[in-house]
Amino acid sequence: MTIYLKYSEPPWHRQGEPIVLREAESDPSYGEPPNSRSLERLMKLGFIPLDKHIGPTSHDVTAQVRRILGIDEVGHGGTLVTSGEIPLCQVFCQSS
Amino acid sequence: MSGVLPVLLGRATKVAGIVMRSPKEYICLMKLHEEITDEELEWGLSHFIGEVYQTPPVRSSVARRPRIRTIYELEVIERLGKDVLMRIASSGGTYIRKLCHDMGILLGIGAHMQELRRTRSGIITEKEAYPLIDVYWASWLWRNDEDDRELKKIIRPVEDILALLPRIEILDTAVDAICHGASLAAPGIAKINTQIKKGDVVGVFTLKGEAVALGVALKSTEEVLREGGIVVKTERVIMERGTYPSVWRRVKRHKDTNK
Repeated sequence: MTIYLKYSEPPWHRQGEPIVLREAESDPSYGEPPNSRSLERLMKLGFIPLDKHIGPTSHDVTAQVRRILGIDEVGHGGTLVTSGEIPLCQVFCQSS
Repeated sequence: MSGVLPVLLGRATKVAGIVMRSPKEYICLMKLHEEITDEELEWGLSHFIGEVYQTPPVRSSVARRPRIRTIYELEVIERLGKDVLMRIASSGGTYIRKLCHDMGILLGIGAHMQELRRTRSGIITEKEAYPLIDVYWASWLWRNDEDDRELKKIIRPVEDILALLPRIEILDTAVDAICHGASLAAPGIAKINTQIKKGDVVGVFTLKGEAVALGVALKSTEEVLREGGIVVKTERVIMERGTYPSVWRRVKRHKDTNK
């Protein structure tokens, strides 16, 4: 048996079309197109389309991805911030 | 539960709300608690197409008040007695477990969700998703052989995930002000999408296609074209400050002071 019910086409695509207000070009000496990002930059401004397996929670696999890539510190602001976070935490603990 | 789960890295975590609100597609195995005919099942399911009320389950991270969710498509692929295999396309934030439970109540026989797989999240389909083991080995190649090609295939730019958002592209001169949290005014806009409505969440991009920020439209496209003014209130900055020159500053400071 099959049943097929449809309300509307799911919004899998962007609505609308672009209108140009000002003809302009971007200066190539700043930034870079998303597709030419280096791996290091992708780890700061990217995502993994993961196919999660049965078992662990979404939270668990997210933690595993962080561990595999070793970017836990980067996600929290880089090694500079990590070394700065510890004394900051101590200050709060002591003052309370 | 298995299936498509976009994992955001670094500053991309700021777009988590967009991922959550994007439409989803699932394959779901529902277990009916008693035998019913195909006609009865179809009658029951027909009440769960279109806009439905849903109260989040007891074990959930959000306030338990009724919300309206949209079921775009509902298809029974196969049925064997009490087992019903369905494909469901729904708006973001729909609880499929709850949907099955509610179907059981309406049918008067009870039902629960046995198994669930997400086959699509926004633009990302299961065909382009990678299992965790692939991420592991790609990362291994990168660390041990200094070969980053596989990992670069797996990790995609955050912009891909924002492809469904109404889009505004801005001039280079406006970028750094937005990175500092300023609202976007009409003179900074190079391109704007049609069909933007007041209150929509919009993506602000550079002309190179880089994501700058997410914001809320204060005006519709028509109003922007007619009267200009402040167009977008910046809510979430994605791009790092100092990526583009800060022409909006009167006193040009040393670059390091921006950090």
